[in-house]
Amino acid sequence: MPNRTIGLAGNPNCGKTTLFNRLTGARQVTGNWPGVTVERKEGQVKGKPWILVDLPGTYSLASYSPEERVARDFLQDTQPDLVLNVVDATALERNLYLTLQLLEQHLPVVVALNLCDQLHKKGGQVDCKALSSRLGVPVIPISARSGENIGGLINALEQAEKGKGIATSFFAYQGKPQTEQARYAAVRDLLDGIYDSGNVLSSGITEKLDDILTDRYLAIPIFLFIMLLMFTVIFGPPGMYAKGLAEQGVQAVSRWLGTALEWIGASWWAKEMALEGIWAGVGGMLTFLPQMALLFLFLSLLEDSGYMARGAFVMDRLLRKAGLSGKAFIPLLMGFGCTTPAAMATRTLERERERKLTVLMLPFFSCGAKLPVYVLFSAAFFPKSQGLLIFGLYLFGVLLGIFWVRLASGAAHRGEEAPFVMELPPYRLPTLSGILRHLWDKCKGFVVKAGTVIVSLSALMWLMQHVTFSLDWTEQAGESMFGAIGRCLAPLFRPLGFGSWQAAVSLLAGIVAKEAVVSSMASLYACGNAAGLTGALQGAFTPASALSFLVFVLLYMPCVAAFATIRRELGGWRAGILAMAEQTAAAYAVGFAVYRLALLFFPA
Amino acid sequence: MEQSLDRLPLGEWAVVVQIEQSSLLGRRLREMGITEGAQICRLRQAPMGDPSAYAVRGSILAIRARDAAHILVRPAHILSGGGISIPPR
Repeated sequence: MPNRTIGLAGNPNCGKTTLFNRLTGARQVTGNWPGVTVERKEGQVKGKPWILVDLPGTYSLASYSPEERVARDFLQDTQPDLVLNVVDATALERNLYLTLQLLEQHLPVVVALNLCDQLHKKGGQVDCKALSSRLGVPVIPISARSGENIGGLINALEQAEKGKGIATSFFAYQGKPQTEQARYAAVRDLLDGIYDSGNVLSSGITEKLDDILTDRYLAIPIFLFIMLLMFTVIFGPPGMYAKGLAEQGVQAVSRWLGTALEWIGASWWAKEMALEGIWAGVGGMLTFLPQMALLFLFLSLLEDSGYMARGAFVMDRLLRKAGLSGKAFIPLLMGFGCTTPAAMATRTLERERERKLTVLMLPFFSCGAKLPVYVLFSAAFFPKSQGLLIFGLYLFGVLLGIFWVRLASGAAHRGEEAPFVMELPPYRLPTLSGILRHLWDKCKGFVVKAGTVIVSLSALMWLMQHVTFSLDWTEQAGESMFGAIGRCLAPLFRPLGFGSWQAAVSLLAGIVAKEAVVSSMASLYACGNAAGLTGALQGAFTPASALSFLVFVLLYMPCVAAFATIRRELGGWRAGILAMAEQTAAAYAVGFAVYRLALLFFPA
Repeated sequence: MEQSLDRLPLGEWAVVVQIEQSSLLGRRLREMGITEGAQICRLRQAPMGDPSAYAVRGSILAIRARDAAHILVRPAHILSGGGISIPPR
């Protein structure tokens, strides 16, 4: 029997992604932020020949935002065999609006009534059987979170697949509503006498938390405290301790690898390439995995708990000054993790103008992969004020980004202010499985990048470092291919204070992946461990040139993966390349200014 | 006694009378449940004064003052002939 296609539709925050994970077991990011599911995802329902397609969370099938267009196009063009519509029982009126639109399209619908337990908690109730007979489609109460009655839902889907229990009879006596108001009136009729929403102001916990978290005086200190806590845990003692453990692990593997290669009798060059080329690169980057994991842990906690939307609510006024809305807060915050998913998250923004401005601003929010460079250089040159310097770099990037976007919005992106209608979802306790799934996804992505890009790059760089352009072997890195390329580029960076070919080459490598800046430096200065590299850098850089190098790394063009996404979101090669060129030019100018200024404080 | 939504006192319930936004935003507001006749409550204000959070049809929406200014409402205590806010449905 051929596979059946089931479209999974529903409002943002209705538990759609949780249900998707439960039905398919597929690994996917769950969040409590409206519209976190931007891309189409699919997975096979466990033990069934059904392909479940997770549609973006939308409030309607109109086509204002890319999410709505994706959902609408899929339903109209692909004609799924079934549509599984997840509705949030606590906001049933609003959720059934989409259900009516689905029925208007004559789609075979099964309704999964989620969060009934939450409805009961706030004193409400709903008559599922009556709702089902009035709608003319099966309505199955479930709890996606606890897995309650998922079996019942599967049964209903099986029945529906056989064509039983499906009729789009609702409009037989209602007539198709034409306007939003008529549709909401129809929902009212539908729910008349069978639905009690309980306390309208959602669950009492959300009210009480909002009293504190969006309080006039407390909200901003709390927001800043959470941000500061994130920074302290990730970059402070806890993160550093975890990093130390990872370093020990990497060294242990290095020793073990050396012995193993010795034992199998590998040739000297294979041994050297494996240890000093590949493992030096991969291992150097793996030591930053604990800090990356902590960062992703915080981001998913904020998302899943519902605080992200409050952050947007609190910060809207401020972001508006940059021509953005509070919603842009989420992609921008994600930009501290990785620019690539952050650029994709801008699709939750409704207006193209705001999307583009946010994408332009993103690279100024220093991504996680640049952190190793900051840590390395600040430890080598400014060990006493390490935390302050790193925080300063992040802040400097943000401020420059705001200035940059104001420039852009004044010039090329003139237009009206973006509208701002955002749902503040109820607070929910993040589930351990949801957080772990999120964390696993992100860390896997990070390691896979290490496995592919970094392995091949490290091997290639090791070769280019030992082979000349006439393909002769050399032990002198300066004579190698890399030395030659680096020497061509190095004079360009002399005004910024770091005219060495090693610096130029590592910046080039950083375009492939920012993780590669440190790993390529480790192999170019031929030092296996962190202490050796620190010593080599102290010889090659001055405090002033270290500062300008840091600022250049902070600001110059992002890695190829981020560039590819940015290019897509900006709508073409031309706009993408222009943005990269402008950004690198800005990095050069600011780096130069910082170097000259720093020379006043740290004379060479 | 109609007034714009952004001027509704905090904690007060009202009924939506008219939405003057015919543009994208107006449609978006209607889709999210702010239609003529809907009951709405201004719950709270962001610390910097704007936007505000409103309860409507079982969910909480954040709307900016300049957008809420286009929504005309009739405070519920006037509907019920004085006194305090009507209890929500």
